[in-house]
Amino acid sequence: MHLLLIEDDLDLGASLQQALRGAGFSSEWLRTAADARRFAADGAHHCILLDLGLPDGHGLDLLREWRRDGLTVPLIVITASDALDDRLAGLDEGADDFIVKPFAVAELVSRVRAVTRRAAQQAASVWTIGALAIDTAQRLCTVDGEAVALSQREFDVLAALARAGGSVVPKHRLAQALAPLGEPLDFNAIEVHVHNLRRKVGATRVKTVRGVGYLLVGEAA
Amino acid sequence: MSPVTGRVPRLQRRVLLTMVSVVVALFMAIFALILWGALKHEGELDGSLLRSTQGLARALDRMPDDAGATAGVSVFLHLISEVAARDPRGEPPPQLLVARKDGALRVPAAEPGDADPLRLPEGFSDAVHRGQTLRAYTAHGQRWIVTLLDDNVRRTRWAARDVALELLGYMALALPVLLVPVWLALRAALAPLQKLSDQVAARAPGDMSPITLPRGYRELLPLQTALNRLFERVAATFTREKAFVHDAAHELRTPLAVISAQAHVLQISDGPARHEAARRLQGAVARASHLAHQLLRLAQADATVLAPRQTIDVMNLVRDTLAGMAELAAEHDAELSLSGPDSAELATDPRALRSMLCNLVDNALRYGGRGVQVEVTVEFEAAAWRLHVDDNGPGIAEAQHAQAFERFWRGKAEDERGAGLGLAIVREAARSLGGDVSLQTGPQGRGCRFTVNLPRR
Repeated sequence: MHLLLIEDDLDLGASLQQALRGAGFSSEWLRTAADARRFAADGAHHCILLDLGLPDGHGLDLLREWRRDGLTVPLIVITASDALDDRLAGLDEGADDFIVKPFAVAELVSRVRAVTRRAAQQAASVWTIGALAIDTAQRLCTVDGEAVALSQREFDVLAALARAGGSVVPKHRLAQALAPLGEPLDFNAIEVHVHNLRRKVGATRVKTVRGVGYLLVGEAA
Repeated sequence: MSPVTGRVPRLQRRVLLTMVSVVVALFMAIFALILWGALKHEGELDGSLLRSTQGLARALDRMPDDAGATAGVSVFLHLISEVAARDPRGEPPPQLLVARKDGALRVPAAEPGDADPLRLPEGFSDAVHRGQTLRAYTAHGQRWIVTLLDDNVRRTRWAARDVALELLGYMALALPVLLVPVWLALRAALAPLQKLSDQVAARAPGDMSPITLPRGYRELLPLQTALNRLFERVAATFTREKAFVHDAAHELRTPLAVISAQAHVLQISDGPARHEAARRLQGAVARASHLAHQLLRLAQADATVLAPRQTIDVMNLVRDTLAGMAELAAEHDAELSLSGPDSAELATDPRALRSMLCNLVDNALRYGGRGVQVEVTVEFEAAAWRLHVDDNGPGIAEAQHAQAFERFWRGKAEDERGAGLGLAIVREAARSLGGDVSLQTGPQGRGCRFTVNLPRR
């Protein structure tokens, strides 16, 4: 895997590059926003690691430009500030993940793997989670190759959970995802849909975090 | 003094200017009043002039012949010119015109442009006399018509000028008499303020002792009290920051010492020892990182600054935060759950709220042991709302409940990564929202129950 690392600090950049090489990632290291603008669009990278504080500009501006120009490569923002506002701004502008300095290299590596895997999965129209296959183009779902008949809503719930890549989707987010334009669904309706979905794809595939939300697990435990 | 002083308006000047404009306005009012009074008398003067002409007409009627009448009028004219000569303002005298009713005799002799008494109505009228519009007072006798012409516009103007001149004189006298005492009084009144500012200016930077004035004034007391309170708060913050930096530096020493030692081991050894040193090195770095992280959080959750409010759905925030921690819970085989209403909007600081929740749940997961059950409960009342984080872990001895919120308190936990700041952060964040946090024994007599009480404003 080939990464683009945009980090202005000499020590951190060099040691990150070395550590990433240790984890089997090759990388290109740039230190300014101007260089980043020039090289990011060539499509040669599987993931971009972007430091927010650059000497000649703010990382969020770069991110906004790229996402506006249709650059979809997975991107992880690196920042020294864990202020919630910065974090949310980054995610709003289209960052796939966020990591706060100081961090362990192992954590960065696992996040790079996660976002690239998720991106690859979403780029394809068929997503597989364990024995579950979801065809987002045809709106079909199979378990162990057998087609499962899902209602419109049930499929939406499944797709929203699959999109989260194994993390918990809070109920209110699910409600918004199911009614992107109108009034969010009420939680009782969500529960009914989840209940029906469980019945059809296997109860253990959709886990509940009581009061919080639901997550899709790869293997039926 | 600062260079700004020149441009800043002075309080003294403001008061003096106000005073001057009030006095000027007062004099103008008096002027208007006097003038109005003077003009009211105009009517009386009109009447008396008309009566004079009527008297003269009657007198002329009694004259036996024209010569007598002419002589009488001449005496009158002479009298008028004499009075006019003595007038200090050199005002042109009123004109007296007398004509016999048949128009054959006029005294004085008519000149071109003169007003003709024969054509003027009896009583008051306006007449054009030598190109000038004048007020005419005409009386008809049996044989004679007497007209007195007077420039009443000019008379009014003169009256106004007289009053104005007189008043200006008074004003010129009165202003200094009024203003000098005001200025002196101002200086005396502002002197304590000057003394106060001198005292503040002359302070050493570290001097936080309260200001004392030799003689207190009631008007200055609020300022003095406010300043003293500010000094108190600054002093408290100062002490707190100093202690904080001291503690932080102290706490960082241990991981740094480990790092230094293990780096040395790494340099000189090989084989399993080298591997072990690298592991310890990473552990120490992780601990220092975590400490830096928590120190930053604590600095952000400064209870002395009231947090900015934002109206949000608190339940959404709680669900988002807990969803983000589900992975950590799974690592500990812990069961995380939430109970509370579906939705609750109120004004709060999302950052402080998230920070409290993260630290409390993180603590419960970290110190609750494997398989711990962590239950978050949110309750709303009319004026307050509460956040409970309960766990069924080993709990904290009751004797230590109070000190658990102190900075760098670690209890008997052996966890190397704990910085001992989590609960201190929660307390600071709760206070920044105007609330507080307390610790009890868990609901079933085991584990911990942390309760954050927050006002619902």
